[in-house]
Amino acid sequence: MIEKTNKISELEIQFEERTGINFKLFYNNHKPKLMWYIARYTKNAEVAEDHVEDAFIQALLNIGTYKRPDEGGAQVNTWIYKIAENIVKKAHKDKGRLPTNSLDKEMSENFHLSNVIPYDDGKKISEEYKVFVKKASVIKETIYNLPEKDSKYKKVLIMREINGMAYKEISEELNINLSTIKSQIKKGRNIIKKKVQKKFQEIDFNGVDEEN
Amino acid sequence: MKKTKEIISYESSKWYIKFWRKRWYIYAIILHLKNYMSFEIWLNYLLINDNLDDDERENFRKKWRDTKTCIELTKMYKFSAKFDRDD
Repeated sequence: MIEKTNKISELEIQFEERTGINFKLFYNNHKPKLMWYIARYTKNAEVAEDHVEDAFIQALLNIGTYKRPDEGGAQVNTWIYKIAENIVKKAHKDKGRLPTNSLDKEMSENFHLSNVIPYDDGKKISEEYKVFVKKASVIKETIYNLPEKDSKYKKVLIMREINGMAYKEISEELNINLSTIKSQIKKGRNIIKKKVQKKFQEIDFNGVDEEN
Repeated sequence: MKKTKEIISYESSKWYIKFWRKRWYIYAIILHLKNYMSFEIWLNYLLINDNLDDDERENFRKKWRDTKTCIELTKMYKFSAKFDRDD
């Protein structure tokens, strides 16, 4: 029975004892192949790199559970490929289910039209444009505040209207049929339209000037 | 308030973020040059005195692979909270 530990040096020794291969050598030999294998799923080298690192970490931490071929298990390289595959599948599943906080997203959230075009031809920005910006922020807010029962519409609307993704991209991302995505966006837009119309009636757009 | 679990993705289309992710390799190159780049190899590299045999070349490349692996593994352990570090 292997003693459970989190110490790197002890884990590396356990790995060598269990598999008969030095962990550094194993990493060196299998990392490039594993990268190619994972990149086929992720279509992104950086994400693949993160998943491969996770796979090696998992392999090292769970070396106690590894079964050798003579114990009815598999070769260590087959084992690590399986671990990596499961990590990719889990990440793909989570991506559709959980909100993603990415570096690009933070930048796009800070991006605001009024920061980019504060003046129109050197004069003060037009009233129409200010109303447009205000309306856009109300629509964005409404999408983010959609209730739990409309979460499926919220997800596709954020992807389409805020992140500007194409229908096909959303379909691939969420692994949902293209026509379903189209109908969800249409229904979502109708829900937003009803909510936004009420809000627009409540908001006095003449007061936008004072707010800014 | 219940904190929602979220995925932190470090992928980016920005070149400087891509570069920042690879910063470890700069350290690996410096380390490798500092430790293994002898005067003979410099001369050979500059094509002034080409007297390196194949074994020496292969040895130099092997050492680079070792340095790279060492840096990658150190980075991997450093950013994983699951390990107890020895140092």
